[in-house]
Amino acid sequence: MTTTAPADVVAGYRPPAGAFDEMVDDDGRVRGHWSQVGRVLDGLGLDELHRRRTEAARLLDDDGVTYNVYGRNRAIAPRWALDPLPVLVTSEDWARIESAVIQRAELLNWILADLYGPRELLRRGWLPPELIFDHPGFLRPCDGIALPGAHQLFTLAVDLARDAEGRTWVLADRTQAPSGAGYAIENRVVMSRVFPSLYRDAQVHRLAPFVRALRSGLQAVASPAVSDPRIVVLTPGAQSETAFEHAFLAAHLGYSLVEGADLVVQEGRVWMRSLARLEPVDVILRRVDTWFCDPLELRARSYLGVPGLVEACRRATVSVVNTLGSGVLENAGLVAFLPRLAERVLGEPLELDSVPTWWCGEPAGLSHVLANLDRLVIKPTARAFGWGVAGDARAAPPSSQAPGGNGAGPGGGGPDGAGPGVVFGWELSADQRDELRRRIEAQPYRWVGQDQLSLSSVPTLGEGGLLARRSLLRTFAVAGGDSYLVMPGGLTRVAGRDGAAISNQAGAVSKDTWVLASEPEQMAGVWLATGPPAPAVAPDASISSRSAENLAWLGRYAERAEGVVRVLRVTHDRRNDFADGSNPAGTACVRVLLAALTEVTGTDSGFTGEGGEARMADPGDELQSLAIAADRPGTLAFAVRRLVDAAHGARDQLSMDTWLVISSMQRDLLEVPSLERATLQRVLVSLLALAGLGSESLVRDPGWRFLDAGRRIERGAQLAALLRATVTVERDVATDSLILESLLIAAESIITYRRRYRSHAQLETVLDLMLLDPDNPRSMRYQLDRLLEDLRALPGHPGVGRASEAEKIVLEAWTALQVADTALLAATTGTTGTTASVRAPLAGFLLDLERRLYASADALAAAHFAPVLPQQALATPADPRAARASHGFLP
Amino acid sequence: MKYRVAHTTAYHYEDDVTSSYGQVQLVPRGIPGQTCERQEVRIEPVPADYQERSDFFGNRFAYFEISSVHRDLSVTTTSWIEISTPARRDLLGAIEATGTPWEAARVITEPEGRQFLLDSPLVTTSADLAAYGRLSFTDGRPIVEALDDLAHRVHGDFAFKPGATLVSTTAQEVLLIKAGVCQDFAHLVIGCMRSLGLAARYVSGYLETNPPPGRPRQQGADVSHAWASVLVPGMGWIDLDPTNSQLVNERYVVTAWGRDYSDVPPLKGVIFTHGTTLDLEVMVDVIREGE
Repeated sequence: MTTTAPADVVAGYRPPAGAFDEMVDDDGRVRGHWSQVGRVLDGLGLDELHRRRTEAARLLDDDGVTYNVYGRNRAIAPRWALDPLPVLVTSEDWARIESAVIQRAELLNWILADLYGPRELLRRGWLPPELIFDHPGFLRPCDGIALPGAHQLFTLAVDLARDAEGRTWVLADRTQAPSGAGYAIENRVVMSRVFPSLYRDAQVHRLAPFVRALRSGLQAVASPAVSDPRIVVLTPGAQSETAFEHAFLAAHLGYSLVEGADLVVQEGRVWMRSLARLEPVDVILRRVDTWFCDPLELRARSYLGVPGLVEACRRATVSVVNTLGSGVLENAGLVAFLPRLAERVLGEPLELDSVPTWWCGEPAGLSHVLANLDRLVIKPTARAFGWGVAGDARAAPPSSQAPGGNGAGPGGGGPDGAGPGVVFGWELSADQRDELRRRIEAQPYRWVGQDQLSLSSVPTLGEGGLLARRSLLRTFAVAGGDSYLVMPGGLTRVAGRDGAAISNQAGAVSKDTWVLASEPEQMAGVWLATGPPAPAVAPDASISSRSAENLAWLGRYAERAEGVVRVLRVTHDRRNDFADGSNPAGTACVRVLLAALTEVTGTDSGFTGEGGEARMADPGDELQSLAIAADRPGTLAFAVRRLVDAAHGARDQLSMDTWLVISSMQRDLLEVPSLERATLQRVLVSLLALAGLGSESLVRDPGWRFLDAGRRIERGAQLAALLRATVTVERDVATDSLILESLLIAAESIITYRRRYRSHAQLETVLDLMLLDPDNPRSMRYQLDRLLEDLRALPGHPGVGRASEAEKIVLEAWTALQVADTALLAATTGTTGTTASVRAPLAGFLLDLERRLYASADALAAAHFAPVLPQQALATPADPRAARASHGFLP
Repeated sequence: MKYRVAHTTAYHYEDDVTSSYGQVQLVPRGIPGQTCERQEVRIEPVPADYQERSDFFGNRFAYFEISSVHRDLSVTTTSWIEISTPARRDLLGAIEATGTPWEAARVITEPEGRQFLLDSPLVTTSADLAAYGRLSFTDGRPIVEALDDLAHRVHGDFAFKPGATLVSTTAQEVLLIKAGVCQDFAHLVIGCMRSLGLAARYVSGYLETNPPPGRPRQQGADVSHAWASVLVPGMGWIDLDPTNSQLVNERYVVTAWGRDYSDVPPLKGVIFTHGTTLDLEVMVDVIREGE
């Protein structure tokens, strides 16, 4: 890395000519509002800035901030990219933007209410019917849905850009289910930690008021009949590109994160399947595109929605925001009409213009666009109509609201953050331009032409200094009271490389946006609220059945991973101890441990069975695979990956520090090409930290009970399997003593054993400690005691003196353990050859315990995780396939 | 003309269905030339929730939710309907009398009508559809005559063949397959009309049928039906039935209209079950009353 003298950081910045730069003016002088930050950057120097960038990346990593990119199957979720240099906005500039965004929200709100209500705009001819009726975002089943209160449009995101003269324009409106606000807040959290003093001294407008407004807005949008509304965040699931944000908002706001299958419509209203019962839902913050929200009335083959949701909205028993159908406003043609509508509807001119746009549905617009095809940006009115976008107009991905949208059409390489299907006229060949002209002429109302903006540039940290990158700013407004509140600042995005599209799918980088306050603000926490204390939500009502199931799996996979890591480690050490093969007992012990690994992990084609002998002779590759083969069921890496999946599925229930542990575990294990002992150590440390978080940072609510029950079941079953694989065959004394010692190490009980028995290992006393001891947290008895406690504390327990199904199964195991005689179990019953004899009763006893534990897990699942049966569309009589089976058919 | 229309759809499932959501088409209370005096809806098992409403187009639907475990579902609507013969004939007669050339019908100002010029999920305009329609819609030809001719041509050129198409088959595909059922022919005509710049919609309903000569009428032998309708601005909608090669008369009962089939399926729903649908039975009776 080149070392630059600190003072050169800002001076070395060379933005391209002909564009507006946010930091320096045309003469290369630093603009006034950047001077303080500029001095700090110079003072820090390039090396220190790089260090801070690494620090920011680590913090984002630790918080588990991801942005999923479509079409890549990878174990590691892609990280959210944050450039450490903020973008600065003066309070005067911001006041203009804020006012304009509010005005735009009011105008779009009026249009939305009208389009799904009286449709005066069409009747009066203020909007052409083709523009609305042809748009796939206009969903007829949603006609007549109205939210209580003054606003039909709850949240709005507006993408802004500056041209070469520094004038601000609107590039696009996001109304379907706008994303980015959560990332902006997370960026701010990270920036305030990476640049604490700079952030403090710069007097930046805080984001907390926006979060407060979001929360109070969600409460206000509930039916007036509800005094304490129940609010949930509806996500398409952990695979969604902005899944992080859905969970982040849910956790930040204190609401449950739900998927469609967690909700059910009964008697015309929406309920959440929580642990004990159905809980009413009053408000849904929707992050699933409308078209996917109801398989009854919208997309029949959607599995992300809730049948009956549209009906519930029509009856106003639930408030979904943004309202179902709000995507109709994401219409590139609509912006051409906004200046006129602002005058007519609001009686005032539009404060901030959209990029000059010509809608081809009007003759004048059409002729202008066709005459200027080679210099305009050509956009479809809806993404689905775009160039190269096929067939079903509404088959868009379920969450198309991500900042920057999805990829772009063949010409979509330009740096303007344009959505998919957008083409740049000057990039087309003559043939392509003719084809485009034909398509526009066939359905002119589906197309607009827009002027191309040369976006303003901002300084971005590069390896050798500051680089100028084109930028876009996404602003966010939320309805509250009789107006809108705008997040001060927003999400700035810059292209990942020079000339690339500004799209997260294309690797764009985000920046924090600082609106500089003219005077210091009062600190105000997000949580401070006035008024009477709010009633607490019952703990078993705030967790969905799916989250609880994920918590149970989190416990099980964490325990499984820990078990595998410990056996791998002791095997590794024993192989080192007896590497030269000169000790027959040592060699025999290693063989037993290798076979035990196959047994405990339940992996195929391991050290036993076909080919096992060969692998036993040269176990290196198989041991590697058992540790790091993430796609192979039973391995350590597989358990860790499932653990991560389960954690994502229960994200709203876990503490922030959980991600600290999980991200380091992912780094340690899922990204390493080969395995070393130190890796096992680090993974073990992470697993222990996770266990510590589980016992120290989670409240003992039903969710924790599931997590703990999962742990107990798995630890007990792992112990039984390990014992079965090691001590049910008697070998010579030297070998057995090595095996018993290894077993005690793997079961984390060697110290206790030595302290208590002060002798060479004997099976009977080992079994006392590992099976019967109620005070050894690694013993079978201890697992069963805790498991019984957990099961008795679960909601829906039949009451004192009665036992649930799962509890009955565990009680049987517990009783068997109570009456077990370790002396008898340790005795041998027969010979299987010349050197070894088996302990059949012990093997049977252990197998029985293991089976009962797994059976209790099944009973727990059956009682609490009532699986939703597969959703199907009702067969339709008009379908000839179905009609053949019927008496009459449709002529 | 008075009719009683009974329409039953009955499902038998392989396995338990834990819950079921549905939407069934009802008959409009009153439209020009048709009045519904009474309507009964019977759903088994008895729904936990039932609500009637009007949709975007003014059609009537009922929403129902069944939350008890069931293996059989039946939905029956029975309607008592009066068709005013003069009203339908008068409209046709008036349009015929003006001799309105079809090109005049392309000028549509009313916004709700203009949506029927646009593409819809199952009907996309194309040059092929325009060319097929143009053979009937020659320059200056009176619109009623042109429509009548188109209905005849479709009847002659396309084979009525259940199983040849699916509910998702588009108008363009029908043109290639040259076969289909009533909804396909309706889509085809709508596609031709829109491709020529005329507003056309899809109509769902019933048709009274005659038993074969000398045979008694069989119960449940009638059918639900579909056809196309074309807007003549300032006059009204002309319904034509390409399946039966005629303009719609007093033997047709209208239940709903939309841009195409996807807007107005007679019954649709969502069920939750591990099993499949073993049997699906549809019985329709269109019975003339009061004669």
